[in-house]
Amino acid sequence: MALLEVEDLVVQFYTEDGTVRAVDGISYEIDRGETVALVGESGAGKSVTCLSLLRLLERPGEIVSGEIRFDGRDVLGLSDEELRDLRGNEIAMVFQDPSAALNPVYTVGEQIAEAIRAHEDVTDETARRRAIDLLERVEIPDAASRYSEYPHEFSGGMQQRVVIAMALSCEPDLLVCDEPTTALDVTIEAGILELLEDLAAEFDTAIQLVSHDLGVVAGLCDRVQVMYAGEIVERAPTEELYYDPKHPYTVGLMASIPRIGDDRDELPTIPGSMPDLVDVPTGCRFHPRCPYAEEACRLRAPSLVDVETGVPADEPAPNDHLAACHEYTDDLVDGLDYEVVVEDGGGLE
Amino acid sequence: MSDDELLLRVEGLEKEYTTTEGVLDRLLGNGTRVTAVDGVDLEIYEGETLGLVGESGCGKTSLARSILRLTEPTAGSAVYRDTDLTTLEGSALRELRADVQYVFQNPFESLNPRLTVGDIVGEALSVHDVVPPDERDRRVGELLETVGLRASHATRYPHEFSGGQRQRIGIARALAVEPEFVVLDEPVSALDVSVQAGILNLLEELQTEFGLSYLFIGHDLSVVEHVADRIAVMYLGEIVDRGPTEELFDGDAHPYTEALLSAIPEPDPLWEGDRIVLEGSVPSPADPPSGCRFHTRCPKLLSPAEYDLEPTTVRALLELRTGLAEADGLESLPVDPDPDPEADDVQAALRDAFDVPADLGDDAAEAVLETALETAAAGDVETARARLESAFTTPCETDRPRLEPVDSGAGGPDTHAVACHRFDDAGTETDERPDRAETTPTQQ
Repeated sequence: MALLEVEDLVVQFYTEDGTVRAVDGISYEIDRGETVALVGESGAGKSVTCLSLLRLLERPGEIVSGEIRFDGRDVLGLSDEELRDLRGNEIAMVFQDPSAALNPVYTVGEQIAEAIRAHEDVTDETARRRAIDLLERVEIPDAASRYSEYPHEFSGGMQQRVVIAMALSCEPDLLVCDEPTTALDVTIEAGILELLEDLAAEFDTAIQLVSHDLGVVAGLCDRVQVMYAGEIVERAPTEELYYDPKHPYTVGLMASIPRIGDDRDELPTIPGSMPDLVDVPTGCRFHPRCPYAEEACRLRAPSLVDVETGVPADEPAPNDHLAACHEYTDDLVDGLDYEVVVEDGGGLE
Repeated sequence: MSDDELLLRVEGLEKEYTTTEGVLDRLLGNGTRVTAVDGVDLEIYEGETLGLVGESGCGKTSLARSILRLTEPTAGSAVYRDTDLTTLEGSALRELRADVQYVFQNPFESLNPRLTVGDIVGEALSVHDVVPPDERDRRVGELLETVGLRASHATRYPHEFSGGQRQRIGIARALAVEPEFVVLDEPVSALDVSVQAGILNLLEELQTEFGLSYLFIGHDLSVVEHVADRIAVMYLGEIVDRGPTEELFDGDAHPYTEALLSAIPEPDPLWEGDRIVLEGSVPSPADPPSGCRFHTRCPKLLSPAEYDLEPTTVRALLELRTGLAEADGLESLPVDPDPDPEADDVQAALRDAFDVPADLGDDAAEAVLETALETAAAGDVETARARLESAFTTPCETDRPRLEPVDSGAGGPDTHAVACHRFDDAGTETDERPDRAETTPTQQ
C-alpha cells in the first residue's frame, strides 16, 4: 500500500462566473521516501491539489468527490481532532513565501517549539532543545542564539530554512512543498534544494514537490506528474519524462525553456493560453493549443494510458510511463511528429 | 549584434538611500546610509542587449531607475548620446523619455486598473504628442498588433488579460513613443515558462525590427544568457564582472559569476555539475565588507602573499579569526568547556570547530598558527587573534579590486573586465582605491 493515495479527486470553486473545476478527477499515489513532482503552468491545479491533501481549502473551494487515503486512512472522513493530528505530525507543508508562513510577532524558536508542543507531550525545555537541534539541522548558524530572533531578522533563504525546520519538527512521513524556492535567489535556492534532498534521505520522508521550474524538478525528484487544466496528462520517472516526453504539452513545456549553451534564436512556444476552467474545451483539453490536434481530439477526451500498451493502468507502478493522448490508443490518423534531441555538453562542464 | 556605436555611458553612478524618518532625524544625522549603487561604470551600445544580473538587493533595479531618473542618483553621470541624463530638468527630461523607456517587472501592478488598454497605451502617445489626436486610436491598434494582441483589445481593462498578455501591454506602452533604448526590469520573472518564451521571442523580434537597445535585468541566468549580447554581474552595488556572454559562461570569470552560473538548476536529470553553494548570505549594503565585497563568501580567496595556502584554508583561517574576535574568552568558543583541558586538545578542537586543516601545507604558516593557537588555549584570545590577523590577512580583505580588463587585446564592447584580485597581474593590488570615507562628499 502506498503512503498516499489520491483517487479521482475533484475540487471545485464556486465563483461569480460559474463553477471552476480546478482539479478534475486526478489519481496518483506516493510511496514512502519517494520524491514526486507536480509540474504545470499556473492555474493547472497544482497548489489546489496540495491544499486538498491537508484539507486546507477554503471557501469558495470544495472537495466535491474522490478519495484521499493517507497510510490507509480516509483523510476526507477525519474528524477535526484527527485532522489536527494528521497535519504537521504526518503531513507537513512548506509554502512558497516564507515571510507569510511565519508569525512576525513570535521568535522563530518559539514557533518551532510550539509546533512540537502541539503534537507531543513534552516539557517547555525539551521543546526548546529540540527546536534548537532542528535549527542546527537546517544549517542555521549559531542556532541557540538565533532561536530568540524574530522572522524579520532572517533573510528569505534563512526564513525558508526555519519553515522547513518547523515542517520537520514532528518527523512527518510526507512533506508537501509548494514552490519552496520560487521566491529565492538561485544561490540560496541551491542550498535549500540540497537541504531538502539530504533531509528527505535522512528521515526517509516522502516529498510532493510543486514547481514550475523544470530545472529544480530534474535535480530533486524521482517521478514527475504533469498537470494541465486540472488533469494529470503525463506521469513518468524523471529521466524518462525529460528524455522521452510523450504528451505534446510536456514536449512544448520542455522546448520552451531557455537552456544554457543553446543558440536557438527563437524559443518554441505553446500557442494560446490555459483554458478558462469554467468552460473547458471539449475532448482533449489541450487540443486548441496542440500542434498535432485532429478531429478525434476535439470530440473525445483521451484517458491516461500506458504509452507502450495503450491500456489504462488502474494501479500504475511507480515506473510506469502514462500519458493522456489519443496517440497511444492509436486514435490519431497522422500521429505525433517531434523529435527529442539530447545535446551533450549543454550547460556547464 | 552590437555595432560599437555608443548609446549610453554611465560613469561613477551612485545611489544612496537614507533610513532617516522625519526632519529631526535628518537634522541630528540619525539613521543609516545605504549605498545601493556604488560607483557603477557601464556602456550600452546601439542595437545590443546588455544583461544585468545579481542577487536580490544588489542594486540592479536602483541602478536602472537611477539611469532613467525614476529615482534621483546621488552622484555620477549617465550620458545618453550627448545628453547627461542626470542634469536634465523639467521638459527636457520629459522629452528624453520619448527615447528611453522602462518595462516593469510586475505586469499586475504596473498597469492602471481603471484605464482601458487603449488609454494606457494612448496616454504615452498624447503626452509625447507622437501622432495627431485623430490618429491615436489607429496607432494604438497597430501597437497592440505589433506585440501580438488584437486591436479590439483596446477597449478592455487590464484585469481581463493574463499575465503574459499584460506584459505585452506594458511593452506596447513602452514602444508607443518609438524609443531607442528600453530598460526591461525582470520582464518575464512573473510568467510561466511557456508564456515567458513568447515574450522573449517578441522582444527579440522588436529589437530587430526597430533597432532597439535593451538593458535586460534578470536573476534567471538561463534567460539572460539567451537574450544578452553582453552581461554585467552586480554584487552589493558594484559591477564585479562584465563582458560578452560567451566569455562569462565559458571563460575565466569572477568567482561570484561562477557561483551564480553553477547554481542554475539544470533541466536535465542526469546533469552532474558541481554546484558551488555560497556560504552565508549577502552582507548588508549599509555596512559592506572591507576590501573585495565578496570576500566574506568567496570560495577562491587569495593566499596571503608570504604563504602558499589553499583557498579553503584561507577561508578557514578567516572564520577562525572572526570566531576569536567575537568570543569573550576561551569559554565562549565552541570547544569542550572542560575546566582543566589539555592544551593540545583545545588547539585541536579549535581547528576542528573552524574547519582548519590539521596541517596547513605550509611550514611557516603552520608555525604561526600553532603559536597563535597555544596563546588562545592559554586563555589570551585577543592576542591570538591579533597574531593571526597580522600573519594571515588576505589581500581580498584589505584591497578593493578594480574592474579591469582581463585581456588587453580586445577593446570596446568585447572587453571582458573582472574585479577580482585573482586577475591582478601581481596577485596583490598596490595602488588601493580610496575608501569611501575619504572621497569628497557628493552633492545632494
